[in-house]
Amino acid sequence: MNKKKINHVVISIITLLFFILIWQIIAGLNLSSVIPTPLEVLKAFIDFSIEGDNFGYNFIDHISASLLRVILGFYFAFIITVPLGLFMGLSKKIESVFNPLIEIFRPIPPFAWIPFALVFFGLGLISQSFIIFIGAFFPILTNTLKGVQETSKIHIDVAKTLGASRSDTIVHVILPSTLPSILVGTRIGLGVGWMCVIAAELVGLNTPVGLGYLIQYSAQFGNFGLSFSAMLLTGLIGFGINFIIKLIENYALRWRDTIATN
Amino acid sequence: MLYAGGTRLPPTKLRIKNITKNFETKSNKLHVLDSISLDVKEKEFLTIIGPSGCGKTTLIRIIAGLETPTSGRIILDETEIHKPSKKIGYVPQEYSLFPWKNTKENIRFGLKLQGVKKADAEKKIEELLDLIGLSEFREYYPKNISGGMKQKIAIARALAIDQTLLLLDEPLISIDAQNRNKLQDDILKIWKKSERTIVFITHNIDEAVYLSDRIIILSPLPATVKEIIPITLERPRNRTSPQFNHIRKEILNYMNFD
Repeated sequence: MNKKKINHVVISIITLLFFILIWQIIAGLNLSSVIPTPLEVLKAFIDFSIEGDNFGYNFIDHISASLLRVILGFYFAFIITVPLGLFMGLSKKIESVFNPLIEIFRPIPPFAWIPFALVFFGLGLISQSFIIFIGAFFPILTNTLKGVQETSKIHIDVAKTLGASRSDTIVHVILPSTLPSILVGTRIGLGVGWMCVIAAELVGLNTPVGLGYLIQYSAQFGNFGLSFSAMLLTGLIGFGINFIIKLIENYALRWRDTIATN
Repeated sequence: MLYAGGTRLPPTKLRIKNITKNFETKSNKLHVLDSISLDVKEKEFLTIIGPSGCGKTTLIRIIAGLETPTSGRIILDETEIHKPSKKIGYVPQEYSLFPWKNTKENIRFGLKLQGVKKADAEKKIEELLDLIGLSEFREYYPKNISGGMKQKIAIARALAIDQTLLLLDEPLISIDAQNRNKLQDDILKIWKKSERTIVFITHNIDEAVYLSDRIIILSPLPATVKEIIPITLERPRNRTSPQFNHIRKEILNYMNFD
């Protein structure tokens, strides 16, 4: 680690400590029983880690239930949008066929689909994953499309003069130069998917498990310490997902002259 | 007709016949090239020079088969060119290396497309790396090497498939003056050793006089062939000699269009 990096880490830690201090002061004012102190949150976290809930689920169960929903929804979004984005980028005709649909559906918040999903898919995994599917769909699609469209004209021309057919050009030029955008879309799509899962779990559950469920359920029973610790966990996991994709990005795209920073 | 030194004139490699190009938009018609005709000889170093925006790049893209002329024909070795051909190598101004491929992989690209056997390709790549003097940079990615090196690798990549005509579109445009002189010598060396015919584009008079067997001066839009100047000075040429300066002055006069 170089000096700049160490400074960055030190500042981050100071910020977090300062945040906890302010939090302690506000919670200590006892304005409302809704705000737990940092210690209460930590205690609730430890208690829950040991005992779990009434159904016998612990944090790992809640986290993995949420992750499964995200991965499922994201997976289907990815395998549909990447080819769709590629085809749309390669053909103006295909683009004009799908563009009106995309422009209409994109501004609809994923949560607006919840009632539809519940009626159509019923309670359970498919409904929740569907919301994530919708949330991840558009970031991956638009980024893939943008990547194809931004492929350097010069690279395509040079490939042609070296004897590349249309399919050679797609495989050897357009795909590799679109990869960075696909990975950016993946990172944003997973981030949106993770936000969606928490909301999707507030409704439409058939099993009492998931971080979103835990946040709501524990608050309903007045255990705000647990609710807050589940929230913080949600933030940490979202951060972790982003971090991992960034590592993959920086490794797979080490030929780039810029690196992914946020 | 006798060539400099009394030898027979080499056969014609490339015929550019009455090339005219108009770009049409809804409201506008831009007449870029106006019936340009010229012949390029086998193994000749021919430079096309002209003011910026005079259609030099359009002309070279038409020769490369990347652009269709409004009228006229491009004939290489007795066959007409309509689309990009493996017989013609093309090096654009800059940023043409694939950034996700290292030096070797960039040079290998054309060979791979031709289905050249791996061992043969490796041998060819090493030869070319040796020719451009960048053997030590074989594993480097474009982001880690200088602009001049990138252009030499782009030339090697074009040379890898066995074309005989090489088109260079202002390859040194973004190189600083000092490195530019060195790279001009490198290009001459590559030209001699590889025995290719080169069509070179520049707007730099000094560069044109230093490199070329013949210089074609294009007029401003719509571009026509304004003048053809053969240069018989022996190589290596002295940029400060009276003869060199005389030719420079001559070209400068021709390029004074106002």
